[in-house]
Amino acid sequence: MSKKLLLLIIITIPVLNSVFAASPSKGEQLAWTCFSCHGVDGVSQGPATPVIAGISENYIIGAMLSYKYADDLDKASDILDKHEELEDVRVQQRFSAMMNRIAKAYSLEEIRELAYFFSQKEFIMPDQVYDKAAAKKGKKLHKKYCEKCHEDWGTTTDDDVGLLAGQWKQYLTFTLNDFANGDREMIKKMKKKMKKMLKKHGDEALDNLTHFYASKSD
Amino acid sequence: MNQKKLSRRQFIQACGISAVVGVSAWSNVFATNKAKVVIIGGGAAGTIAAKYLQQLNPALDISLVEKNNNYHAAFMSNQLLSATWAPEKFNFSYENLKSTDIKFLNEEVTGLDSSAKTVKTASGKNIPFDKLIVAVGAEADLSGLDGLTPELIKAHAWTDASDVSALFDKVKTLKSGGDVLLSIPKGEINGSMAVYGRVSQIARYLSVNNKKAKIQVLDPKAKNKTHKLFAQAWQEMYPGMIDIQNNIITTKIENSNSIVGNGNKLSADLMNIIPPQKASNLAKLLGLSDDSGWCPVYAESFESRKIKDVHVIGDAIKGFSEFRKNAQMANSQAKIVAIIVDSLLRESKLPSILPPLIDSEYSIIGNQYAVSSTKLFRLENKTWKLQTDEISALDAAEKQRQREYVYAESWFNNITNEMFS
Repeated sequence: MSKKLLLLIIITIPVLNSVFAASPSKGEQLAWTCFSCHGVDGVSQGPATPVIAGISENYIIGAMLSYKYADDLDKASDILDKHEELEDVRVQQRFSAMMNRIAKAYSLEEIRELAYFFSQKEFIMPDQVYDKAAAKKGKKLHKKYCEKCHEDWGTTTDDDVGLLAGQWKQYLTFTLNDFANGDREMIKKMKKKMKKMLKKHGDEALDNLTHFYASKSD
Repeated sequence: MNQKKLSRRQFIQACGISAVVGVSAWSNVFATNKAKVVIIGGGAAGTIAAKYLQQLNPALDISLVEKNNNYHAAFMSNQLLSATWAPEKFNFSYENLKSTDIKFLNEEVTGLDSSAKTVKTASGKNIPFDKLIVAVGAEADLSGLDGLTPELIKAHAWTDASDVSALFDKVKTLKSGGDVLLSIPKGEINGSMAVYGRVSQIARYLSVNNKKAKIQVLDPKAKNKTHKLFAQAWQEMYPGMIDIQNNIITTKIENSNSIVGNGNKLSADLMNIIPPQKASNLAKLLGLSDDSGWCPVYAESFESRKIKDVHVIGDAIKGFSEFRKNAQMANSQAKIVAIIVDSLLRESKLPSILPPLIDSEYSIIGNQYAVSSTKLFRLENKTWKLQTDEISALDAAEKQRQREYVYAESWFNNITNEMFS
């Protein structure tokens, strides 16, 4: 090996090492701010703040914009119309206890960085206490009313649906109730299914579903 | 490879390569691989600064110096006054931290040599640093209130969670129909909204166990939106039990049952005098605090205005605009200072972009009932500018209060997990 080549290798190896040793990106640094409530890497320790690791990018962008523009959702739609690459992002009326205060402070660019970061993390399902009989009923309900969109027992985010299996039960209870009372908007097909389910099985159906998802869709 | 054998030409070529790859990466190789960062204080700020600095540059030599072997969280510890959270929930061990590459030194810091850049410890060690991060918190200001003694500071249980249980014993033994007086100090304290959380938890206990008891709150502040929110909540949860008087400044503790406020003598069966606060004595000893009692820092770097290469974060700092002192703020500042110190060591300059600071406080009022206040700050033109400032709405729906109640516990679980997992 020539001296020159050796020199090149010796100099570039440590330099490249330090470049590629994946120092946290600015997007990741921004995401750190979320960890004290949503858990390290978005894996919440519960009992209520949802796990946001592994949620789809479009879902997170949609949720954040829905909170940010809670008072004027048309504005959020106008912004989305200007970004072709965000055509699958959906904004909706969402009941919010905390996030409406926080989302306001982030730009669209930052929201996209956060969404990318959390979407790349692994959704780690917590072990939760659940009622086996209720979970069994919930499984049947899921299959009949939810599985068509929340495929594989609510374990995938395909088509940017929310992750259900293994989510914190307390959070699912809040969210399902918001949907059922009209405090959170549903898309047409979900609205139809929800109505049908509640008519046939009553409010208990929501509770059974939360037990099923808390079982990690076992 | 023997560096002496490099010809001038080879050296120039090497420089060319490094220029292509990037000067910052190049300087990293020499400047930071063995750079030493010492962090004093293993609380909400110090643990987080250590962990995130290590993520930013695993090659750093990071030492966390903490005098205690265990941590007692003071935040949310008012829950001990209603016996709704178990005391064990507030106790944490440094065992997990010790198993990382962060050096955990169970030592008491006794001094700082700013020219030699070393920290002295009680056991006689001199720990060298390139950058020092001081996260030593706040404590009661013994000289801030006439009649205050170290024993009274302990009895009134504000800064140290391990004192709260003893105060709870006094609440439990309050005579039937007795009165409690809680006085809030003038000036900044750690956990600003937590004083009202404390009143709420005492009321929560008394409303079940001593229904005719009364609580009087003396507050130096003029009536504001926080007072209105709590007054409404108390009216809903504990009607007629709590009376809050604004614009009252406590100037003297006469004895265990009486104080002087606005020149008048006030008595109660049980007193809880929250003492005025300042940066902890250690901050003063290290030469970091000023006449205000707090440590002045530059906004853009959290570097001390008094000693170079020393950064101060958490409750001990002299805050900007409307900063409050709380665990969330300490956590947020720690992440930002980690980014700053890493950038200074790597590139000898401040980072171009910083995340926002989040200042948030939850207060549990009763079962399934909590409120909170959240502020966000952004660094703009070398100051932290308040970007949003929101508090739970008056007349909010029951489910809003209920969610904040469970989110308060979730926040506690996540922030402590982040510190100690």
